[in-house]
Amino acid sequence: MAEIYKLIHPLKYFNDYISRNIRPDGRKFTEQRNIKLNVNSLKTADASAVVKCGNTTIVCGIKLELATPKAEEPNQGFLVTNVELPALCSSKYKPGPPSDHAQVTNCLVSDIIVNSKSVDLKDLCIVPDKLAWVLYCDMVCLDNDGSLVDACIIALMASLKTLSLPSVTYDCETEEITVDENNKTPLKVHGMPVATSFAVYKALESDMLLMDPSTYEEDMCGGIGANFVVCCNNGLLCGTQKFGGSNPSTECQEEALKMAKHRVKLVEQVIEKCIKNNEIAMSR
Amino acid sequence: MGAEEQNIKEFKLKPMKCELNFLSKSDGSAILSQGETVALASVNGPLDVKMQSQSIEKSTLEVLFCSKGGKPSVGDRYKENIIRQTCETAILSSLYPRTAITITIQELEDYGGFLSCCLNTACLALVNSGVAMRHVFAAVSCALDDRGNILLEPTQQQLETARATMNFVFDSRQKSLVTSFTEGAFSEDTYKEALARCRSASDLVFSFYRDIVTKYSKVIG
Amino acid sequence: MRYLFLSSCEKNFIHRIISEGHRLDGRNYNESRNLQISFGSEYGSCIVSLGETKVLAQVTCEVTQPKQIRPNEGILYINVEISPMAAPQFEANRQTDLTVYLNRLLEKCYKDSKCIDLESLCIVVEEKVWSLRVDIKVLNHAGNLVECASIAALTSLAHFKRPDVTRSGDSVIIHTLVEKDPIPTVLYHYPVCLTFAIFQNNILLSDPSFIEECVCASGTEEVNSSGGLLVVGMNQYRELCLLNLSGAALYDSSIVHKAIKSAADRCKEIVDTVKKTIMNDDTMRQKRVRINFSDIITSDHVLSLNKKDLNIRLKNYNADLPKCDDEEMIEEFEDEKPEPSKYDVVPSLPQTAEIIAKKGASTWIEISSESDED
Repeated sequence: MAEIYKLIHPLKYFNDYISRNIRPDGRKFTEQRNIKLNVNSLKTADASAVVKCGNTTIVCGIKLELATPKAEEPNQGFLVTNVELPALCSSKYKPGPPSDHAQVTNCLVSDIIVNSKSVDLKDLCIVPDKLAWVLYCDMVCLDNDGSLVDACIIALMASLKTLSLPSVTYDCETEEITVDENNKTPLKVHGMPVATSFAVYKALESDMLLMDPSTYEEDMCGGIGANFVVCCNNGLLCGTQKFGGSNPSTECQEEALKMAKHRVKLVEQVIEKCIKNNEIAMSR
Repeated sequence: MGAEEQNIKEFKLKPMKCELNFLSKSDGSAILSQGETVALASVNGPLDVKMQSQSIEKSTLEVLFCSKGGKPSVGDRYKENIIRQTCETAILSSLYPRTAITITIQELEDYGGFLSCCLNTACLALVNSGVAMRHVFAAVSCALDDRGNILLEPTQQQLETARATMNFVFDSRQKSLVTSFTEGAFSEDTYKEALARCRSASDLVFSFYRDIVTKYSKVIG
Repeated sequence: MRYLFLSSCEKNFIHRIISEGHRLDGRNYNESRNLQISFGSEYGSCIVSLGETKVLAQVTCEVTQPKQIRPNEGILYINVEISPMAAPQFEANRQTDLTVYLNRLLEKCYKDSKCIDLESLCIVVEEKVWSLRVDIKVLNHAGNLVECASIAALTSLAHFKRPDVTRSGDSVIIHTLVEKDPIPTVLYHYPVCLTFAIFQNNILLSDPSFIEECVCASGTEEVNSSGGLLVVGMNQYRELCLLNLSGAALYDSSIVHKAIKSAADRCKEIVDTVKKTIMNDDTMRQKRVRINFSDIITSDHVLSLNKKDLNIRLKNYNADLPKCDDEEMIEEFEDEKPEPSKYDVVPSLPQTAEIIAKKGASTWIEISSESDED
């Protein structure tokens, strides 16, 4: 019955829930979905993580490669992010070249990583103007159920934290490169950006903020993806993006910033616990 | 436009120049310069549209961003996304079901605050095309310099040394935030202050719109 | 691409007025529209407008590896894009036949005519050369794209300056524009493409407008004509670089001769304008005047419906002299013969006059009673 009602009166169905201060999936407005995180899940990648935020599932794998740095920035390495939204993650996407949504999500993710300065590209340089590391960070979405940016950032940061770089010796004269896989140093990761998505919904002349929205909620609020993404890192904001949807009031925005700050601690704990668990497992 | 330029100086916004109906073949077009940054936008629509991208309840909005030279990049898709989502909230698209409205934006000069110039140009082109709109919108950019001061409409030199840049788009009715996008790191208080200052500066952009439209409508009226 | 259909009456009308010696915008057969060139702040960026047709050109350069068969030559690459901005019938990110046609014509005109000294673009043989990329973006398509795009390409190439390089041992240092003055591109000659529309196999129109381009090759039921578009590429020395005919076959070659002859003068004129505007721009830049695309924004264009922008003009109608026209109207009115009166005023008896119906004025057939009796 509820399904038919949802089909016939999609807007009213959603409104009825919101007016009773509850969301269609039973959450409160400011309640996030459960997060499950697993690191070192892929054996072929140099570092990896799988994260599940509710139904949204992201696999992140980092592959290391060596390259010569750019002529303009001879003492910097590269960090290349790529977000893939294959056809299997949602019926909205078709197989073929990356969709606009995938490209936009990738842009948001790479901006957050650059703005938060969590990875210093100079750490990736081995010999200036000759040799540097390239980190290919691929994030594949297995199931898209909203708040993609949040999940991508968690997966990416968890894998970056577990990444260690093998030591490389470079002979300037013979141009010979030797990689020592047994002698690894962990990558320095400064800071811990955490993104929080919100959907902004206007019901009865007041703005509602729905934290960690599902795809259904994102669609109902209009726009492509979440409306409002706040990213916090070490108490500073490193990116607040607002697209489409209805327009939140100033109080609404302040509330969002507050909620995002609270969430940072939670997510940080998850990642730290997960990495500790992983280290214990590795040492056995 | 002498009077406006004076006004703009007081609030330290860059001088704006605009021409509507710059292109004869488009349904609406505008070229806008904000200081040395120049963008050109054209609007066509409502047009017929392919079955696969047709929507039965509203008009499909297609946005194309053309950079000046070189190949299209992922960054262009991001800009298109910002422009599309902003225009989508402004256009009354449910009045034109099963059609498409296309907005094309051409980069001409980029000397800082380019994306907000694009958004303003797109808004003027939409007004010129006569597509029904809920409200008009104005984009204002600002930068945070290394001493923590907020600079409205930064120049390119200021942008190079800036710690962060923030862009805000406001609607004309309640001055509420339609779109925002930021770069760099900043504290919460700075964000709020920047938002408030940009909001009051958006009044200037709206009054500029009003001047342009009155000038234009006098001729055709 | 959305298809654009022209109605038969439009086609017939254009054919008719052209065969009577008129054009829709009031030009003569060999008259071109107004050419305007404006430059952007960077070297090698310009907007060229030919009447309402507007094209943006931008030259960019980068260091690449040369092609293996030509290890000591730079690379020239031309890319044409027609976005929905040009006209509503074009779609985004879709190559149309027109794009390919335009790209190929420009390649023929600028690459194959060898007007650019590609050897001067070489930095290290077999290793590093400059690659020039000309991006042509059509902003408004109101006919004769070929001519407008070719002028834009030529102007941007002639205006472009690449950064200076110095070689020290193996490494190559590229200087910024502030460090060392940039180097202009060497052009041996300045080729330009001109378009002629051929109507009914004997009328030659230079600089055809959009509707004339569409109509010229298509016959209708009324006008069974053959015609087409002829593109002539020529440099300032009257040397032919390119000929391209699309549309119907010609059965008289003299029209081609005629076109080439009239192209020669026009080419010289265009090249002179291009050189002069570049010279002007150079002296302005030396005086450190900041040149920017914002200079092309004029607020008086807002008067969109004044005479200048009215693109349909009648040859015998002059809007500047409305009084004159009024007088003509009056004269015409006087010249008009009043309808002959049906009545005559006749003095019949002394001191009286009568109004009598004129003989034959009535068209009624009179039937006399006498014939009845017969």
